Amino acid sequence: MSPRREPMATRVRSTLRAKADQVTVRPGPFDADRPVTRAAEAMPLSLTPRSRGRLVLGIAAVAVVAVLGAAAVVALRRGSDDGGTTSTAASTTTTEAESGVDGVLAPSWSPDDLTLWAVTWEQSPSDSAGIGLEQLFGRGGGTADGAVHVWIQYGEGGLPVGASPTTVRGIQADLVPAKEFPDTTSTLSWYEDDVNVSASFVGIGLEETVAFLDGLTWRSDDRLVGFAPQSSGDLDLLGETSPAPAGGTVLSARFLYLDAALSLAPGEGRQLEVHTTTATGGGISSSYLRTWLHADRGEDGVLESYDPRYGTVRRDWPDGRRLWVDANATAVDRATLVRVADSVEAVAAGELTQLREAVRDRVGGQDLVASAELGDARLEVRGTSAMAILCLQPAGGTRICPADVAFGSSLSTGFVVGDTWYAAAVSSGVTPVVSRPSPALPVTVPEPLPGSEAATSGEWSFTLVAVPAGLDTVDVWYGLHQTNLQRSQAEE
Amino acid sequence: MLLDRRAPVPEVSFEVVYEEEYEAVTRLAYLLVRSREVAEELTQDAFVRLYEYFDAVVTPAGWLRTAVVRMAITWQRRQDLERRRLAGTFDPGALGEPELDETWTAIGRLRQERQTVLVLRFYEDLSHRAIAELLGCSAATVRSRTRRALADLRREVSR
Repeated sequence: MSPRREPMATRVRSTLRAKADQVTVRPGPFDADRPVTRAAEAMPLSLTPRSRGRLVLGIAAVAVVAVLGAAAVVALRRGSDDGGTTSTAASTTTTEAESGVDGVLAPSWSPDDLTLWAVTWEQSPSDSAGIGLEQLFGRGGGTADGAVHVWIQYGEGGLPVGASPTTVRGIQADLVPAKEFPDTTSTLSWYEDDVNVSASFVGIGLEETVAFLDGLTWRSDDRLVGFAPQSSGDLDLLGETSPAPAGGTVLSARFLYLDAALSLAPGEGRQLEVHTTTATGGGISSSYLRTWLHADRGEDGVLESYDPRYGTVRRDWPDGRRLWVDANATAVDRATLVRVADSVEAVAAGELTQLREAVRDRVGGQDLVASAELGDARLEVRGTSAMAILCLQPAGGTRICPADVAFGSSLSTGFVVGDTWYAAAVSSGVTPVVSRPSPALPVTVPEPLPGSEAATSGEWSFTLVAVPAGLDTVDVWYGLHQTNLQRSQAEE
Repeated sequence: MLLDRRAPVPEVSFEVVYEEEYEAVTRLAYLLVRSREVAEELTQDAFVRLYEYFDAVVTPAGWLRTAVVRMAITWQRRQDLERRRLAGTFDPGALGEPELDETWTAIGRLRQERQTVLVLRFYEDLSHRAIAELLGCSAATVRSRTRRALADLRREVSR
C-alpha cells in the first residue's frame, strides 16, 4: 500500500515542478578556467585536483558571460545567518574588538512580553558598493513627483519570462511589478552591452519613464560607470553608489527578541529582530537609494519605510547608518516597531557587553538537555524543543554560553579559554567532525583535527578539540554538510 | 556516502555529463536560490569542481547535486536579509495559476532549512535518509522538518 500523500505535499510538488520548468536554462560552453565563486571556493575536497587545463565545450551557441555573477558578489558580502540546518553562535568578544564598538546603535526599549535572546555584532569593511552600480534619478520634491532607480550589473540577459515586453533604448525590455512594493513600483529590465539594467520607477508613468531612459547616455565604454545626468531632463541624478568598494568600516549589530513561544518561524509567536549598522567613510549606500523610492523622508535626509508583508520598519541615513526593526511576519504592530526604532541610540562598548552578559545568563539558565565530559571540559546542550545552545564548562572554570540562540539540531561554537581556542560541535544526527579548512568539495569527510574527542549522550553526539596554534578557521562537518568556525568570533 | 540516486555510468565522459546534467542541476539550484542567474553561477561552479575531480568521482550526477545543494546553502547563509528580499529581479515571474503562485510565495517565506528539505523531498524525490546524508542530520530531523514545513505552508496559504 502506498503512503497517503497529503494535498499540500501534492501542491508543493506541482509548484516546484512548474517553477523548475518555467525557468529558461541555456547551457553555455563549459570553461574549466572559469573563476569559481566564493560559494564554491568554500567547499573542501579531500582529493588532489587534476590540472584544470583548458577545456571549453561548445554545447550551445550562446556564450555565458559570467564576469561578475550575483552569487560571486553577494558571496563577498557579509550577511546574517538565518538559522539554517546548522547554527554557529558567535559574537565578537575580544577586548581589542570591544574597544572599537563604541557607538553601536542599540534599542533602549522593547515590548514587555518580549525578551532579548541574542546580541551579536561584527566589524567589517564598508559595503557601500552594491552589486554593480545604482543610480537614483528623481525630482527633488519626492517620489510623488517621480523617481527612477537604475541598477546596472554585469550579466547575460536573464530576463523575466511572462513579463510584458516593451522597448527601451531600442532594446526589448520586460516590465514586471517590482519585487518590493509591487503595488506602487514597476521594474523594466533589459540587456545592453553586456550589462543587465533594471529600472524601477514610482510616481511616474511607463511612457515617461521609457522616454527618460531613452534619453540617457552612458558616461563611458565601461557601463558600470553608469549613465550621465541629463542636462535637459527634469529628473536629476539624486545619488549613486560607488562602483568600487570604498574605504571605511561597518559596525553592525543584531538584537533578537522573542516571546514565550521561543520560535523563529515566520508568523509564530511574537518576534522582533533589530539590525543596526553604522558606517564610516563608505559613501552613499545601495540600501539608501533603494529605500528612497518608498520611504518617507524626514529631516536630514533620514528615510523611513514600512513593509506590511513582513512587518518591517526600516530607516536609512545618508551617512550610512541603517536600521531595521523586523517582526518576521508576527503580530507586532507598526506603532510598536516605530517605538523600538525611535528608542535606538548609540551605546558605549561597555553597555553592549552588559547586554551580552545578560543574554548569556539567560541562555545559560535554560534547561540542560544533554551533556558530555570531554577531556578536561564539559559540553552542554541547553534549551527547549524550540531552541538549543551549546555551552562549555572548563574544568575549574566558569561555564561559557553564547549570547545567541540557535534553532537546529546541529550546533557549533568556538570558545577561547586562556590561550586555547576550543572548537565544539554537537548534533542529534551524525557525529560532527572538526577539520582543517580545505579549499574544495570532499567526496569523504575530512580527517578530524588531532586531539579531537567525541562522546555521545542520548541522541546527541559531541565533538571537542583544542585547535592547534596557527589555525584561525576550522571546518565543522555534519556528514558532508559543512560550516566553519573562526577564532575571531569565539566566545570567551 | 554521497547522495546519488542514479547508477554509476562507467566510462562516461565529462562532456556527456555536462550535456546531460546541466539543465537538471540548474533547475534544482534555481529552486533553492530562486534566481536563475545565481543558479547558473552555482551550476557552472559545480561543473568546474567536477572537472577537477572527475577521475575520482564515481557518480557525477549525484556529486553535482550534492555540490550544488551545498553551495546553495552556503550562498543562502552569506546573503543578508536585504539581499534575500531584493534578489530575484530576474525571477521568471508568476506562473499564472493562483494556487501554484501562492504556494511558491509561501515556500519562499519558510525558514531556509525547510525550503531546502521541501525541494529535495518533493522535487528531487529523495528519501528522508538520502536528504539526511546530504544535509548532515538524522532522517528523523528531515521528517520533522518536512512535517513542519508543510504545516507552515498550510497556515500560510489559508490566511
